[in-house]
Amino acid sequence: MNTEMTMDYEPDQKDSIQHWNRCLEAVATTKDKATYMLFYDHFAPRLNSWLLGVTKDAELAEELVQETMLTVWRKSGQYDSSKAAASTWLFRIARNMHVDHLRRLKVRARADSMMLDVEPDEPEVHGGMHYDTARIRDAIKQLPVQQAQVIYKSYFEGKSHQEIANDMDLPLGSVKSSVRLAFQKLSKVLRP
Amino acid sequence: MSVNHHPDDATLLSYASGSLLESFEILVACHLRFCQQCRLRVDQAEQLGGAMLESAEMLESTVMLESAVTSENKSIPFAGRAAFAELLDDDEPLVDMLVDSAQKRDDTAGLVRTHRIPEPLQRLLESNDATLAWKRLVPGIQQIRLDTEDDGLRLMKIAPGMSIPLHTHKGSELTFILYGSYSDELGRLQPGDVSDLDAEVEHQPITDGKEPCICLVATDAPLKFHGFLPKLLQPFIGF
Ligand SMILES: [Zn+2]
Repeated sequence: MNTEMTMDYEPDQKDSIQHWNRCLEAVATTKDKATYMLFYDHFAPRLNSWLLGVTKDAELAEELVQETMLTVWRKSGQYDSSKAAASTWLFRIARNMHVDHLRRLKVRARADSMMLDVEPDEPEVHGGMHYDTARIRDAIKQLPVQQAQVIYKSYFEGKSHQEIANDMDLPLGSVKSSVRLAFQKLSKVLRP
Repeated sequence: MSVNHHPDDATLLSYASGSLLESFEILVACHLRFCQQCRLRVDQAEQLGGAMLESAEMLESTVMLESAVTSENKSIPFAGRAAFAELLDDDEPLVDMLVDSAQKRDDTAGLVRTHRIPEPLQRLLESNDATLAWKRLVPGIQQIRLDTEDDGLRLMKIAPGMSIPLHTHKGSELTFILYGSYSDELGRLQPGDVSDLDAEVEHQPITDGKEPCICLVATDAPLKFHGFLPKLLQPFIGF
């Protein structure tokens, strides 16, 4: 059964989003550790360079990578590829772990009345996973440098608009409009 | 509740990327609770986050920033690989099924985004609670400073017909309406609405209706009031 599941996706298509969605689904059904290590080998280095950027702390970044990858493994049964791409799911979990850490909250302390969740479980209608990585890459390449930079600083350095404004010596209003324009261009590519 | 005013796309993207100050993050989360449209937008920004995770090297070369993390070759196995493989070997999925219901809470740990909602705000989200300990700033304006990491969040209760002194801000200002309403140059704001002001915007909100307006305000820089009387307010309101 394991072999059948692992044969299901083509190993030379590591760039395709469906490849990793199917891989994670295979992990969910088979709980096969070797299959999960393939997923790990693809995403752990990427996750690490992202977390290194937002935490500026190599030890902490590595710790969060491991914690995230272990959570993904344990919760893989809840992954649904019709709702989100594996990379989106992974990004959310890593972001939650990182933000929780920033706020010095242990997720295990959820009983604490200070940390009620205000968001409903999930949006009723999902954007789904209608993008392919190649098209997003093209769209990123076509961004004016300043827009690519503010996007990079938002995602990969975890900086607020004000911090970006200070860094780049730009008025706050220009930072916000650059982020807005870049978001609007990139999100067009998400449409099916 | 019909929502007509939303946070800026730039604010929603930063919420999704986890790069807002906690005060702003909590305020946006309050709005998302009522706004499907913005939840979808955040969902899209999260999809972009996932795509960027996959395209990190390429993005780094596009931005040409010195600060960009010079990425190691992504095909080299991650340094923690061996340690992780060991963790995985020790991980017994059956244990998950044996946990008692008290630990069931952990089911969503990491999967659901949580926020530290200060208690007075939590009470207001549930109902218009008259017993909160408001502090009077000037006649007609009361506030409660909320405990957050950046200290930029407070509740304000403004009497009907009250005009808040004309002010500009150096930084960002987000306002979320909980009860009542107010109008400014940008329109009328009602419960669920968010006003997301760019820096350098000068505005003078006026509460309308017969109820006091209760709102949540997040700022990252002191407000600047114009005129002599408002300056007297500065020590009370400023950060
Ligand atoms: Zn909205």
